[in-house]
Amino acid sequence: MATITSELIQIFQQVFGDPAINLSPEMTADDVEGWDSLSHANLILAIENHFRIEFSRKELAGLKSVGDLTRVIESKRVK
Amino acid sequence: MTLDSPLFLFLFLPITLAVVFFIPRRFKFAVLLLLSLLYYAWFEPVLIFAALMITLWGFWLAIEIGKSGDNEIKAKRWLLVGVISNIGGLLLVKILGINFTGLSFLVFVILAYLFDVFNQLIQPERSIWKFLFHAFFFPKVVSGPIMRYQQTSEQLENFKIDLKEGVLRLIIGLAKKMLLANPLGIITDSIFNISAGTITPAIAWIGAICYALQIYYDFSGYSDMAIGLGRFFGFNIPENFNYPYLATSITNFWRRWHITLSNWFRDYVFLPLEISRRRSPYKWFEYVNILIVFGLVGIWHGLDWTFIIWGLLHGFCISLETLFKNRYKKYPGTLKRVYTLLILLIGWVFFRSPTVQYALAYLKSMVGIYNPGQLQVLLPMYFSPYNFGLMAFGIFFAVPMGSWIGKFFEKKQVPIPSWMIKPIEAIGLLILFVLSLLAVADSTYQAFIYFQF
Repeated sequence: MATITSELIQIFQQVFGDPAINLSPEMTADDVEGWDSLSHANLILAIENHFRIEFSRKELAGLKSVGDLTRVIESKRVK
Repeated sequence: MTLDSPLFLFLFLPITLAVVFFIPRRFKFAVLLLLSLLYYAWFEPVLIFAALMITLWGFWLAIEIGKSGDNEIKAKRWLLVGVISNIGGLLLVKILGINFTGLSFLVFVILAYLFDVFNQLIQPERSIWKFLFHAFFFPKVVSGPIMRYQQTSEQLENFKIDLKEGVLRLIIGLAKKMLLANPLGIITDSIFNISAGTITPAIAWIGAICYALQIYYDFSGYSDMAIGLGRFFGFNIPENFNYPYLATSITNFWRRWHITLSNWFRDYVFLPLEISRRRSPYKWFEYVNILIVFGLVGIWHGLDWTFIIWGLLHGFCISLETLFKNRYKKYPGTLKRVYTLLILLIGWVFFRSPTVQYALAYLKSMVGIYNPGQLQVLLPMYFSPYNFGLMAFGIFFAVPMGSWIGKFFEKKQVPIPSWMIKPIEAIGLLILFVLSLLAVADSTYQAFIYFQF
């Protein structure tokens, strides 16, 4: 889990162009400046490319927080 | 029987409250549902049957989608049937110009439910009564806020009545409508009834500003009332507004204005469009998607070019703000706010105008291109202290003045004894309530703007 979070932090920093971003599981789009519906697709794409995974529609619809993201990435990686 | 009508406030609401409080808890929903249907029938005594059919249709479709399980093609087929029938029906009603109160909201509530079931976020509901309650719960049935099924179903099991918050929001909402929106509306109507092109710039600006304030107080007042009524019966209805005129961009405005509608478009139109283009190499698809969404937001308000142009203007500005995001961030705050308010005012002129031609002539008046004609005589009427006072109040309460004043006193370290705060609040609310009721008793009927959508 820890490595996924640290890799996620890097992706967030890149996508939102802010090297100061830090993440905790309970954070949602409201807590990250610039994480809105406009940048969401770019974020998802960056995550998919980085982890070489593809989110299903159910997973995409359920992503509300950083914790959700790490959980889904974790579960996909195990497979 | 609108939320601000004497019939509702003096008859329906007291009876409903009494009935709900005095009957055993297990009958509460049945009674609330019955009263909600009665409330809706007051608006649509005939079309309520169509509304019920649409709701049953959605209920049944969701079960079919649920049954399809992981069979993607089958689930998609049922979803598509749902989308086409609902949107098709809505468009047909709008094209034929049928007055069908609450249909736009009902269709969006049902579609949200179908999408959520399709995305397997929720299970299809098996109880038709619970679903009918979700669709027809009377505070929000005709004008939202748009609730998601999850929000209702969680609270059906576990509701918490909050009378204090309920009273507070009900009175504030009623006061917004009766003491600000309606009087502002009288000014707006009289100005927008003058043939455009003959209005002087000052009057044109007064009209646009008054309308911006009117539509905010009208709709946010209604939403406050709906939220307050929800608390009376133990339901948390989601917030719809967050000081929209403090927005620092049009993008930001849509996180503060009609929040449940913009979230609907975000979740069910924009994000799916965005996700589907995520592998496409064309960055400009994003801007096309933004324009599609805001074109649709416009159409949702009515099949009229004035609404479509209003929506596209917003979409266009949001696209520009996205394109120049990094540069926009660096502009001074005041400049960003002035730009945002200007675009909003231009947009509202289209939104309020009967035709695009009228809106364009009106905008010309605002920049000084006009033919005064004989209207000069009327000028002093619009520059009355009453009008300016009303506008000043409107602007004053469109910002979180209460918390600003609180912070100011904190900074200056003026001690306000805590025992004083509650009585001051209570007396203030009481005064607002009495003034609002006087206005209700006195008013010639003026419907909420968002009832027409």
